[in-house]
Amino acid sequence: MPNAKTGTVTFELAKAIEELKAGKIDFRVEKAGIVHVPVGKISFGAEKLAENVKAFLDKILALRPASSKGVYVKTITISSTMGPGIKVDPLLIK
Amino acid sequence: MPKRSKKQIEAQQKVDRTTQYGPLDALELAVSSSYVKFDETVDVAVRLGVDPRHADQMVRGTVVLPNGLGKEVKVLVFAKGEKEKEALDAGADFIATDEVLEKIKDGWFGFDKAIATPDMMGAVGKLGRVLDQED
Repeated sequence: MPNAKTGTVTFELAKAIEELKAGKIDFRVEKAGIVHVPVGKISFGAEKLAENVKAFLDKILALRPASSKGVYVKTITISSTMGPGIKVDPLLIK
Repeated sequence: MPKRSKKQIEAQQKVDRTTQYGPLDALELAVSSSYVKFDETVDVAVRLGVDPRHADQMVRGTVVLPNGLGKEVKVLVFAKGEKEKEALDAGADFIATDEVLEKIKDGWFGFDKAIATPDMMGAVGKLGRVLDQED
């Protein structure tokens, strides 16, 4: 569904298409205050995945609402489709 | 207690549930503990200290991943005239013609993302409910 908030209602079609094709993801915090996103495939290898994760986390940090109190990033968990959940130290991502 | 497969248990044993890993270590662990025959998607979940019931604490946005998603994204574009051509040149997979709109109403969803020019939102609105479920 095109939505101005996710940049999918625009006259700059070329740019929008290019970004989507290049792997643009949109995310939204759900009711429990958790954000879930895909960041790539296992075949990318750890380093490429780390770059994607970093791009996403940077964005999350930039979007911190001024009204949020206390700890902003409480926990981070990485998991593959069928793999176990792996906790990441939120203090290491800054 | 549902039965866990041998491979699953093995993968779980590689991960210490109480440790908080560094980001790169965590990803390496995810890659090395993969035991299935397909290319798994890696997901990240972040628990934020926000209450989304307050409108001003909503966190939403978009980000272009530097290394992509590893998946071909099919794009449907709502546009007409010159813009339609621009979209096709840019690599759009489908243009929302009347024909395509009919197909979508009948439940066709061969695309992953939809883009529209502002003047075409009227046509999009008619499909709002169907489209919402999809992306």
